[in-house]
Amino acid sequence: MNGFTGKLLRVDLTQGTCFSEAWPIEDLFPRFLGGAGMGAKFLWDEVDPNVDALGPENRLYFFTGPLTGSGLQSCCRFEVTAKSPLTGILGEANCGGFWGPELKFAGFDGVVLMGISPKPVYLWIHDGHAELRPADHLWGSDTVETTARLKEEVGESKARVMSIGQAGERLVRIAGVVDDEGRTAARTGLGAVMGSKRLKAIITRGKERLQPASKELLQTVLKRVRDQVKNNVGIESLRKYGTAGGVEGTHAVGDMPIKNWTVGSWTEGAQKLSGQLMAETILTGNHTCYACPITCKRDVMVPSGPFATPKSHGPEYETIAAFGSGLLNPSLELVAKANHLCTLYGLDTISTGGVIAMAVEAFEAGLISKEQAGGLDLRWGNAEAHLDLLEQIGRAEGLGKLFGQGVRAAAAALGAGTERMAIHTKGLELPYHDPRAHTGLAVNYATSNRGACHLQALTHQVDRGSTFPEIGILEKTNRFDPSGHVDEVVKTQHVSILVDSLGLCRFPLGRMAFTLSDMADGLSAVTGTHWTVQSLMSAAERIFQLKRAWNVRAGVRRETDSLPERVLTLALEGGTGGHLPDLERQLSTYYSLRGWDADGRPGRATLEAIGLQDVAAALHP
Amino acid sequence: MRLLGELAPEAGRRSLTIRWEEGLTLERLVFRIAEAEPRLRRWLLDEKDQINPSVMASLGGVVYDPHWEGSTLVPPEQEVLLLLAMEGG
Repeated sequence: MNGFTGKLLRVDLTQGTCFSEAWPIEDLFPRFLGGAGMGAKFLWDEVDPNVDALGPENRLYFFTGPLTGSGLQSCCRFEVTAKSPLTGILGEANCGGFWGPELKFAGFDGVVLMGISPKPVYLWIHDGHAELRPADHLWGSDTVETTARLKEEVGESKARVMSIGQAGERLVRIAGVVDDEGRTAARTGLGAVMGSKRLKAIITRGKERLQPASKELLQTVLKRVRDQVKNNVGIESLRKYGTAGGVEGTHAVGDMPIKNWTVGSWTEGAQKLSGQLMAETILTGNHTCYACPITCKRDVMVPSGPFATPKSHGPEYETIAAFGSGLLNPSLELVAKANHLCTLYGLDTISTGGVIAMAVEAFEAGLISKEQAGGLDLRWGNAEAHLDLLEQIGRAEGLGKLFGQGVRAAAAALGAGTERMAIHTKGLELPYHDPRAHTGLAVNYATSNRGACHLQALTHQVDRGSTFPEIGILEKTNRFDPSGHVDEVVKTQHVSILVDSLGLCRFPLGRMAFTLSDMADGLSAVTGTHWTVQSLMSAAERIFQLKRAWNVRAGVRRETDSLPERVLTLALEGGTGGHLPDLERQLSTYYSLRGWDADGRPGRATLEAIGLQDVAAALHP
Repeated sequence: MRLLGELAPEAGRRSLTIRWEEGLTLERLVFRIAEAEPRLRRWLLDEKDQINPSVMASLGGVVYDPHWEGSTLVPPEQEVLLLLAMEGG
């Protein structure tokens, strides 16, 4: 089938074997699409939710989507899926760049990693072949060094690499998997899963090129998207300033968490963290992902001083909030340094910022002693101490060994009221958009299948003017609407699933430079099967409910569809004007729309209506 | 009334003086700026010549949404900060 290679690479790390299998793509694609959808399907079929996330029974999946590497603008992405060691539920992380397309060019739609290798290894995939090679000499190396040495070792300077750093090796629960240019499949600790399997890296190189079923239709879509990208104000801002271009605007509306979510306004700090200032100071250039015209990625360098950083992948908005406003560090240089350290160690910047903020708040409150802190002076704005703790987290040493387990585990260990400082949902540290500024984020965070995630629905974008007319979202919504505009939450959760399953980027989508109709037409052109927006949304609902079903078996219930108390009860000055979200009201409406019972379990009829008869039988024996 | 525009990237931080008038609303102010500064027009107004939904305005530190609160009266001697509230990622 066009859009797919038709081959899956299965790797038995225990036995040290790799084998290519033809997979039933004609049956699976119409129902689960690819990417995140395939990850969910394989997780359901192959992984018991009760396994040890760091044990041999957990599996780690890398799946591309049918649009990955197709040549359609911004279609380069892939999904990583496993049981998360951080949350204990479905873990997934998405990544852009070039690795996903290269995997397809090497002949595979996805990689399934099983078991545990007795010794450190890396996986070399090239032109239809795959082999495991010793990686003892790389164990302990950071991701940048690993990438350079692997390319030299296999003799392919243009190969693409996904690797873990020391954090993944040492099973730090907030570890991610890093590509050869600093992008990270960051969230939910999948770097630790890879480390538990003693798999240091996957390096790929391929020369195949996939052909679309209809070149003519694909070219029509390409031209349409090109015209939509041109002169698009949002795309221009991304190109010039990256997502950091939104720092001051986001702060102004109260959407940028400050001081571990306790303060509503920090104007002087936000001004020193903006993408506009970055462009005048530490920015050295920008780069892009495969087939993407946006070039939102930053290159930065801090030549000297306490936060000296070599030329490297620069920070995005989330990272700026994590190490800047979250910790009261008004310094782009500091953020660049922290970002680079996270790349080297292979850490999720959102979670790392969140755990450090909790540590600082606990220390300032006297709940962590100086002895426990090992001499670190963990105060707000003490950047050097924050960086020291970051490095401890990366190496699982000292106080970092505790906080690298995530805020939920840290609070459980420390007790003494630190629970109120642990800002998470289902164990995943909250990203840096505030439900007090955009009430729809409340029910989205509470019900996102991997834990709190701003990317799982797009209502905060709809609050700022993004529209999706093909699915009835025609105008900007009121960000303080107490109902949380739950209908839009459900619809945009499905849109996000489509993005993560097909392999495209949500940035042009959110700025209306790539529409749902473009998605349907592009998929039709690539695969030769007919898709409409409606059929895409139906598939998305199926995938969402499948993920929820797996999570229900893993223990998710209404009581876990929650938000930190602080976010629900602490009214702030500044751009939120003291607004608070009404999560209970939103959840009741949401459950009704989803066809779930009072405890958040998808109903039998709901599942059967979308073709998940086997899932219905499992949840309702 | 002085306006600070941190709006158009190519303009960077800029300052404009707009003559205040009785009954000046936030919505009217945005249109006056778009008329006065053609280079800012395409950032302030969308392709239908309506206020770009991402535009937000801070009046005296309080943030207003011109889309929902365009009838808000702008007082004299008021500093207004316009922002393009693009979300992060």
